[in-house]
Amino acid sequence: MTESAHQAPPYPTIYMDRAASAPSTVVLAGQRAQALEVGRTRLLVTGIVFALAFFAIGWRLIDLAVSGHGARARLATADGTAPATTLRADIVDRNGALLATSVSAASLYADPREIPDPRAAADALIRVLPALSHGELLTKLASRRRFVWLKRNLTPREEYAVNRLGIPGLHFRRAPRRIYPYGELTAHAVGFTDIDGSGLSGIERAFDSALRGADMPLALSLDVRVQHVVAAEMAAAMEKFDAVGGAGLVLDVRTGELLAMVSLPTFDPNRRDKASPDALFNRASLGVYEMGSVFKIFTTAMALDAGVVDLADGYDTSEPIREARYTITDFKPKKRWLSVPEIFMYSSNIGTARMALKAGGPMQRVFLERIGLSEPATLEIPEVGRPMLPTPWRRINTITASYGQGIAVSPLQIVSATAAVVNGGELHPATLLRRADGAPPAARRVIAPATSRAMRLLMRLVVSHGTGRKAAAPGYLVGGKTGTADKPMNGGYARDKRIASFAAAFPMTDPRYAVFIMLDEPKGIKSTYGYATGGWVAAPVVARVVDRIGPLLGVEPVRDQRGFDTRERLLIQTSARARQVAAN
Amino acid sequence: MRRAALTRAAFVLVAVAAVGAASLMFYVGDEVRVLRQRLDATEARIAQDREALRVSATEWSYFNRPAKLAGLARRHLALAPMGAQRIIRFEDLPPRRATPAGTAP
Repeated sequence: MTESAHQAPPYPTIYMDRAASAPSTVVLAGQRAQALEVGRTRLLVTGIVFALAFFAIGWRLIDLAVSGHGARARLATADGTAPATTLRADIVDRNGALLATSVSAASLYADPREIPDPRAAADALIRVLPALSHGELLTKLASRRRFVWLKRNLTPREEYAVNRLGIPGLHFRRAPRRIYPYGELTAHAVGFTDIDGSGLSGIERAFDSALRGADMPLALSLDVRVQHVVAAEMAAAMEKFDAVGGAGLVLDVRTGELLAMVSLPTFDPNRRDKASPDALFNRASLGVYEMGSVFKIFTTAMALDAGVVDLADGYDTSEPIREARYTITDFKPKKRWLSVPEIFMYSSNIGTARMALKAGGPMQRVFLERIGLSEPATLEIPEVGRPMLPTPWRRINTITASYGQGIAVSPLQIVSATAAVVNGGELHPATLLRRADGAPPAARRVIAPATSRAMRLLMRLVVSHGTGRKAAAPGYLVGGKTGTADKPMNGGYARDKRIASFAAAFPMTDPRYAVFIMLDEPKGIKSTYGYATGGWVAAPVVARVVDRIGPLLGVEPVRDQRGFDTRERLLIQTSARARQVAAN
Repeated sequence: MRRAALTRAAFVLVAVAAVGAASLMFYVGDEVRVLRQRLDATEARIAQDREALRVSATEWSYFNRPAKLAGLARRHLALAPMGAQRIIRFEDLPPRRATPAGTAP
């Protein structure tokens, strides 16, 4: 035990100052003293570091409190990154007119148990919402249920008026609602959505997902002013000739942008539950029709482009063509030799069929495909019709297709192909979206520029001296081609039901816009001598449309029309040839 | 002795600083709360105004339907659609007749 008492103690030995009576000062020495010194230094350094850190934090606090810098920064970001709207993006026309928009609309509902006096409440409500029925309102408000809808989608004014009544138990529920301010005007192109805001037709359907997430409005190529002019003029013609429907398109021949796409009858997309299936049907792009003589534009362009005929050639049209069990005659027979320009301007079936026969069926089919008439058009909307072609393609089909019977295409295809014929020979896919400025449009060459020039002369001849004289709009040098087709019916053709159309472009010196007007089943009237042909029915509509949209679209009127109207030159050439033939 | 005084002074300084920082914190926190309230109110107002703008734009478009404007113009204005014959080039204008200075043309 005593041995262990002399062992080294487990704590540092403290040497007492023996001189002092009390242990007042502790003196450390040696290695231990040094270790303590190091510890103290470390403590000091740590302390300084902490002090600096606290100082920094304190300074920042003062900085924040005094300058208010942080708060402003927060405000700025709050403004810049304002929460994106959860509403569906707008659809606008090429000038920014609002075609489709979403607003958050209030729907009025009631909790009848909270309403103290149902009769007084019904009386007050009927004053601000006169469209409701008083009896129905009273039954709803007096019921024992906890929730009844009173009116869906109130206007802001109605909401305010109801709120001002201050009736307890009336509540609003807000939900986004799609509104089409221009209503029926652009119904077929823009389309519509269901109650949940999913696109069901037109652009609304084609760009459904893009519209959901977007903040920027979607700009279409349509121009509501042009659209209105076409729709109004067509509606007037439809009424005049008692037609069942119609389609009208205006296309920029340089870019393929559609400025107007009208299908009549139309419907109000804001109240589409009241729309008939006939009104919902898009005749302009989904409907396919046998178009008749407007097809002679393409037959003639093909024959000229391939060098099968030239402008000085011609055919004897005095005898009808007999093929299989059909006899091909002319609507107004001239019973003589006709030059190619005359065949075109007088719309001779016989002459055009002879041109097509000389070119041959295979060339005709290749050409129709090249100019986009045998495949569905590539428009953005889902309502695009598939053309109906004869199968098999016999000799008789080559004959009838040359003047637009036995082959059915959509008005959209006709206007695109017409634009390609007159614009120098390039086919631009039709589009409903506004093209960005300067972006070169997609193009495919379908005929040579020289052929396009010749076709412009021929189309001008139709309006200046041929079957389409009623399409003339002074100053705008309209050129085009009439079309009158019997409607197919029960395997044959109806005698009294027809499609009257006119495919045009203006001005023919340097075409800017192609116009196609088609009326479905027009009836002849006294002032047209009972005729309901393209020249009598559709051509005047084209004239009025061009006359009104020309100034709107900034197309400069042509001062000197006579300089272009070269009928004399063409006819002198051709009649010289005719005389020569007659002499032989 | 000097060391103890120093320690006490440091303690007082730290205590004052702590109280100061605490009240500053409180002040700043309160300021932030007020600002946030104002921010929320402003954001709500912006949202409301945006909505009102949308409604106004919709109404504006609705009242500007071409068919309606055409009807109004027919009824109230003595204007006619502008035809091609009304558009001429500047250089096609007849030259202005010279008028004596100071007289009305």
